[in-house]
Amino acid sequence: MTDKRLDKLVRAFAKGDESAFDALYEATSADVYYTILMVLKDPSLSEDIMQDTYMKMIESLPKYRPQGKFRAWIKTIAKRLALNAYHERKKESPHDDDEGPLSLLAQEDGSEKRSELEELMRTLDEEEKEIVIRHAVLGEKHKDIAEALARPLGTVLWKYRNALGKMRRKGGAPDEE
Amino acid sequence: MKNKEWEKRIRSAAKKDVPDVKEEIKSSDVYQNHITSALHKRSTTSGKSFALRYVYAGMAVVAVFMLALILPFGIDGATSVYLDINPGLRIAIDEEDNVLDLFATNPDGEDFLTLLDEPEDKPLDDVIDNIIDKAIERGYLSDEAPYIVYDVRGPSAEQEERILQRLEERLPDVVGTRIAGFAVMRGHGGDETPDEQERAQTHGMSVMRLRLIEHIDDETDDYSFADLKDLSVGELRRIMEEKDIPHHTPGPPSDRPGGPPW
Repeated sequence: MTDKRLDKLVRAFAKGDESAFDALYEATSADVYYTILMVLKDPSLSEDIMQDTYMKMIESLPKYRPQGKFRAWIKTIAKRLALNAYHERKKESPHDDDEGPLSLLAQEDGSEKRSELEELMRTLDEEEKEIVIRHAVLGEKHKDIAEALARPLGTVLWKYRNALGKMRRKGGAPDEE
Repeated sequence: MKNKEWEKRIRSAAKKDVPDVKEEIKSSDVYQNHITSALHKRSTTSGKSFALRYVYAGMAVVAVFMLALILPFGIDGATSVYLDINPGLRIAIDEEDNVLDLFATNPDGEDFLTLLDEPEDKPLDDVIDNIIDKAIERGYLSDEAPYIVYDVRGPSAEQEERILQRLEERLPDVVGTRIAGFAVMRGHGGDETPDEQERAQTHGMSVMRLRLIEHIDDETDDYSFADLKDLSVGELRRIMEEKDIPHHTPGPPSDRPGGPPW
C-alpha cells in the first residue's frame, strides 16, 4: 500500500471511520510486530507491545501530520515502546542473558508444529534470521542493518546472500512442497 | 527461485506469524474513546455545512464534465507524451515540442514530480533527460528494471508519429549507455475511461500499465491479475515473450493501430 493511501486512511480513521483502522492495521501490523520482535526477541511480549503501539498511535494521532510517513512513524513508536520494555525487563531481571535466541513463533501452543516462517528459516543461525527479517520483511537497507548489528556491511551482505542460499538449498520452491 | 521471489515468500510467511491483536485494540478504552469523540465532532460540524455540500457537489459535477472533455489531449488540445517508469507521467507539449505542463498518472508519479526541475517552456528532450536522471538516481530505472513504457497521443498524427519515432530512437541512446539491457516498449496511453482510471488508482498504477497487465491476463490463464500487478515491466515483457502473447496493447478503440514496435 502506498504512503499516500496510508495517509488517506489515517485521515479517515481520525474522523472515526473504523474500516480505515482495519485497513491501517492490515497494512502495518507485520512492520510493527517484527520491529518489536527484533528488539525483544520474544513473541509473547512482542504481542503485548504491539497492542500498546497501536493504542499509543491512536492517542498521538492529533500530533501526526500526514506527509506520507505513517509507516515510519508507527515503526518509531513500536521501536520506542519495545526499547522501554527491554530496559524494564533488564531492570526486573538483571541477571538474565542479554538476548535470548530469536524465536519466530508467535503462538506457543505447545505443539511441535513449526510455522511456515520457522520452517523456511530452520537452517539459518540467529543472526542470519535477523538479517533476513530486517531486510525482506521490514525493508531495511543492508547498510542500516549493518549499523544496527554493529557488523561490517560486507558481512551483512554476505550473510544475507548465504542465508538465501541455504534456504534455497533446503527449503525448495513453494510448488515443491 | 530468484532472490526477489524468496523475499516475497518470506514476507508472506512472516505475515502469517503476526499475532492478531486488532480486536483487543478495538475493545480498548483508547480506541472506543477515539471513535466516540471523532463521531461526535463530525456530527456537530456536519449540520451547518449541509446546504453548502450541495453547492460543492454541483461544482464538482461541472468540473468532472469539463475535465472529461479535455482529458484525451490534456490542456488546450496539446499532445500528451506518456511515460511509465513505475512513476507514471504525462507530459503535455505544444506543436513546437515544448513542454506545457507535467502530470502524474499514478501515486508514485505524484511523489516523483516533486523531484523534477520546473518543466514549463523547456524542450521535451530536456524534460525527458531530467526525468531519466532522477529515475536512475531513485532506482526506478536500473539494471533490474531497465524498461520504459511510452506512448504519444495528440490531435496531430504527424506530430504523434514524429515524437514516437524520436522516443524510440533517443531513449535507448540516452539510457542505454547507463543501464545494462535497457529497452523501450510502446504502451497505450490516452482515451482513459473513468472505470480504467478508478481501477488504476485502486492498484496505484498508471492506466498504461493497467492495460498492459489486463492484456496479459486476458491472453493467458497461467497468470492472474494479482500475480502480475507487482511485476516489473521487464518481467511482464518476459512473460509476453514466453507465452507468445501478441504485441498488441489493449484499451479503448483508437483511430490508429495500437501495436507497440518492440
